[in-house]
Amino acid sequence: MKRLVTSIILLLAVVALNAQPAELLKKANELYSANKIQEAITSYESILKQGYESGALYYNLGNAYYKTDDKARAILYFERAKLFIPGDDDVQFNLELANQFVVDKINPLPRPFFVKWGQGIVNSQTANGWAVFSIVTFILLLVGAAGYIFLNSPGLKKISFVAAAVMLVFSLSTFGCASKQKSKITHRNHAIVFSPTVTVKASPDESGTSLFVIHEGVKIEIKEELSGWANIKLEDGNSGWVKKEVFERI
Amino acid sequence: MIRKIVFILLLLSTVGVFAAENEFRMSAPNIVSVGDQFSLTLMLNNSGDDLRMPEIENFDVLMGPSVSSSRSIQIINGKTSQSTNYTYTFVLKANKEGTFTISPASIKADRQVIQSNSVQIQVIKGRNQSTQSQQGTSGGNSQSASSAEVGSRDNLFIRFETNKTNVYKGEIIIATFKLYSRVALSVVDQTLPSFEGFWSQDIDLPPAEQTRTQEAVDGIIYQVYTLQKKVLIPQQAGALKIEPAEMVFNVQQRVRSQSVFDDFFGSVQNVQVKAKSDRVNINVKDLPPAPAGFSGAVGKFTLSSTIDKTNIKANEAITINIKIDGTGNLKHINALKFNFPPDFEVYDPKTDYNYSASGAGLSGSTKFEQVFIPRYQGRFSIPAVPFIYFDTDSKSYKTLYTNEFELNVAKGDADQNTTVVSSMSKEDVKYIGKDIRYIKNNDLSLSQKSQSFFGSFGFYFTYILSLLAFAALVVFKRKQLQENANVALMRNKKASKMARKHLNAASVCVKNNNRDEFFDALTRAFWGYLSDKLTLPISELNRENARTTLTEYSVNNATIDEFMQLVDTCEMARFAPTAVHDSIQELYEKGEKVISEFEKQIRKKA
Repeated sequence: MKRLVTSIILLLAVVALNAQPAELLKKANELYSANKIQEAITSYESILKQGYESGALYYNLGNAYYKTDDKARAILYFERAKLFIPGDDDVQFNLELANQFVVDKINPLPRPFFVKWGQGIVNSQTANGWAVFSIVTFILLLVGAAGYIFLNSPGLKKISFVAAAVMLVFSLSTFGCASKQKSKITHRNHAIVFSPTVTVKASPDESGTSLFVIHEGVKIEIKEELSGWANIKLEDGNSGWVKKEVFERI
Repeated sequence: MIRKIVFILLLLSTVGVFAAENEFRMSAPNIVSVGDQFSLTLMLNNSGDDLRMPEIENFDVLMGPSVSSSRSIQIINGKTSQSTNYTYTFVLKANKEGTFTISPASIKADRQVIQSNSVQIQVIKGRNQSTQSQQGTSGGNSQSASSAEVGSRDNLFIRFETNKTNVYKGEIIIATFKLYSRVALSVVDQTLPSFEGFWSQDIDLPPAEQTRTQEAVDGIIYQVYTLQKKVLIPQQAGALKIEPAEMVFNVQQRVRSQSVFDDFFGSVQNVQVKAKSDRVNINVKDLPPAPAGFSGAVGKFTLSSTIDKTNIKANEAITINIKIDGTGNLKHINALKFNFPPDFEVYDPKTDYNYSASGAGLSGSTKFEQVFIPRYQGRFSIPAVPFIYFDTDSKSYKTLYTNEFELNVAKGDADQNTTVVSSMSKEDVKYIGKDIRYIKNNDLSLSQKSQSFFGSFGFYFTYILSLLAFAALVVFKRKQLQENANVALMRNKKASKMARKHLNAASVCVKNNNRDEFFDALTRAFWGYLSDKLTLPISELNRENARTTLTEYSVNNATIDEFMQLVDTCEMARFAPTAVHDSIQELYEKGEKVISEFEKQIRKKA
């Protein structure tokens, strides 16, 4: 009980600390509205520098960069926003619009429908959203179990047993989704190319065979890193090595 | 080529035709050289007398006044009009250099004193005065030589002048094409340059400029004829060249001949002379970086805009008139593009140029007539449209705005509406532009970086807490059940004891033959026993549920019937004691037997 109290106090303290950056965010939004995009960018960045983040913040910053014609950075921040608010329509819309400015046309590999659906479901909530789902279903599981144990009627007992079993499956799968979303944020193995043009090599050194050329704004997946080089994979399945400084992780 | 005819005249004549009422004009060449003789002419379009001349200083009056008069009578359609002209001529000689003014003269005509104008005469130091006098005497030793002399640059040349040579693209240049001559000539042919890189327009010369003037070049006085004036507007930046103009003249030259008659009358021969103007270089600068919306207007303008109506019904046409006044390249002003609400029907603007070329350039106005039809009712606003032009005076861009118009469109007439609607029953939504969606203003919640609920202490704590709560609930409930079970067991155990106690009380009653108390005790023994044995509260016990419960506890029906009979007898005895005749001793034994049967038969619930 004591622990709970302390954790609640801690939570309140965090909320209190939050007030100041939230104020800053509001001001930055006002700057954006007044068409002072450059100042707005500085404000948004300063919030990030203080160690705060949110989907809306990344989204707004992406918008600001879009307005200054820095499309690659806009894509980067829209992608970041997508990590925090994956189901958001506006983020998706703006990201697609910004992607139209990318020179390279990359056709993603076709994925089986169930993979698509699965990813769609996983992406519909953030890690925290899934975590809450997991807890709620866990509690429902316990309720079901209690029903099974304490109810007298054999019919009700059966129903609560089945319900508990279903809730167990839900709880575990939502926990899985949450950890998947969380790992996306913590590992961040996707990146956006920032150099205007990049030649992808077959091996991690300058003398390697040049495979293909990609341009600013392309989204890549980083598979491994080796002494200043990274093995990357495009959405169309092509892969190769590029120097680490040409991209920025999402 | 009327001009050709006009310029054939090359005599010192100052006769003009004036149709005004009483006009008294003084005229003289505007430039003469020292020692020259020239005539000062006073002309009156009426008869007059008492001519008073001003003091003529700085000039010698050699002769005059000599008076000549002319009179003409016109009869047009039976209407007679006549005009009289009196001309007074003085011959003057210039003595010294300078600019001198001859004050107005006055004359009396129709009993009125009329003042003439004054004239200004510039006297220059003549250069090489002998050329003119030589021309007649030693002019032509041979024909070719004389032709060269007559056509030499001293006697005849053409000049192409522009008022500016360093201009901005689109700025107006006035080019003047002049013929300088000291000999009698007629134009045979002229080739004007093609103005490459320019837009050009002829200027209609006012009558005053069509006549000749005098101009001194290098000390020689020439008769100057303005052949042509043009407005030029450079269309491209860079060093533009205007190629020379070429003209061919017939020059009259006196030919010396052996014949005395010829000498006397003077034999004249026409010699063809070619003249060429200099090439003109014009440096055209590009305009400074233009603001967005600049369409190439250069000059000085004013703008006015009007709308013919603002309260209309849908499907009625409205016209916006825009008038741009000023000087500049009016011809090159593009129609202003209004920003109409998207579902207006907009027609191409009608452009009406109304300008004239004059010495000042192109001036006048350009009008745009923009017709459009609103198709739907509502309140609309047509925003102001900027007109950006380059001001050649301040060398900067200036912006004029049209008015902003507010339209109030009422619902159109029904039949008109239907015709419109039937043709396009459904419209696609028009996408006017594409832009990113707006920023999120409402969501101000922020979280510390790399801090999420998932995986946090609180997250797992919630699991543990709920699990603990569940466990606690289970344990608590189990214990309670257990306790309940214990109470039942106790009561079960106590049941026989209690029953025996009540039966003992009953047996006491039997001994005392106390019938009332006996039935009471017996009933209590029965119900108390059942209540304890079947863990049912006494208040809930009655005959029906006692029977069903006992059946559940697998007590056979014979025993139950016996029990029921006993209970009935007891109750009967309690409420109607006289109706019961059984001996209480017998009843007591029966009761004891039933309870012992119960003890035997009541098992755990099936």
